[in-house]
Amino acid sequence: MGGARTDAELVTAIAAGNDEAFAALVDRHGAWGMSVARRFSGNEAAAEDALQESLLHLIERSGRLVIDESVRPWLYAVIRNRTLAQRRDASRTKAAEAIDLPADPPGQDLDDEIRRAVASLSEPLRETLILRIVDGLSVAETALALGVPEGTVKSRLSAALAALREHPALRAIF
Amino acid sequence: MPSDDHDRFEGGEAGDALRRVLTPPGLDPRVRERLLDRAAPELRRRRRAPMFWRLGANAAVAAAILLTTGMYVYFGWLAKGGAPRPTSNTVLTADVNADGVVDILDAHALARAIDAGRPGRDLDADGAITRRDADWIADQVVRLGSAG
Repeated sequence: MGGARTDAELVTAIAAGNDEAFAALVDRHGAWGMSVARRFSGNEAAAEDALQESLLHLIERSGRLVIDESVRPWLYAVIRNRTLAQRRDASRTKAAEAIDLPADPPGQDLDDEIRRAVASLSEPLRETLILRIVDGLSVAETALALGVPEGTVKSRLSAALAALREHPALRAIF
Repeated sequence: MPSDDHDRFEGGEAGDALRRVLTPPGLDPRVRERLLDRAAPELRRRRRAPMFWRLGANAAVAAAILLTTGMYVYFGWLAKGGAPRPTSNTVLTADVNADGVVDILDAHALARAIDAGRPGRDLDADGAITRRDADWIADQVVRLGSAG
């Protein structure tokens, strides 16, 4: 096999204890997983901890995990559940309501507006938009990750785009 | 909004802007290292697991062979007459004076030994070696004599 291994192949190798397969999976999804954990978690350390636990859970379940295209829908749900459980445990629900999107590079007004606009969306709309548009999951994968019907993904996406178009600074590009 | 609009959005300037702003930076190498370190023991355990199951399977086969052999020997032994009859050795535990027969002399020998502070076997199994053990021998000898 010449190309990169699929997620399903990596997970199968991980089930047999293959270190390289696990490293490849981390390289492919680690940054994304960390960003998901950051969005739900109160701080960087908690996000890293949630990601570690989620990946350990993946190793534990790897022998029984059925992956179609990407491991992301499954991993998203696990990371989200872990971080929300952490928040409940730490009674930091209110502090974590403010999402942690990537830090602002200085002097980029439009980018700042985009961050603010996305952060102002409700969590269901924001998560749908990010998974579908930024993370590149298909509608079906997004639905799987969020545990909702595909029709709900489409309607949320429409609502998110409509809300973004409300922002005067973004109207030109949205 | 129809799906076509979503697709145009995804592939257009707005989608590019969202991805540019919201795509996460690469994973911090230190975070990556910690992830790999934490996963290493679990991966090692999974590599060892098949070996463990192979050893377990071999042990099960060995146990089955031993069990089969044991049952074969045991039932063969039963077929040949069952549990062994008491041998002269087992009977002669009461042969205190070691002359090859259990008789009233053994009762006397045990009584003398007890008197001399050299108790032997607790033959009546009452937890103590006393003259009653000597009496027990005498009783057995009388009983044997009566039966004969």
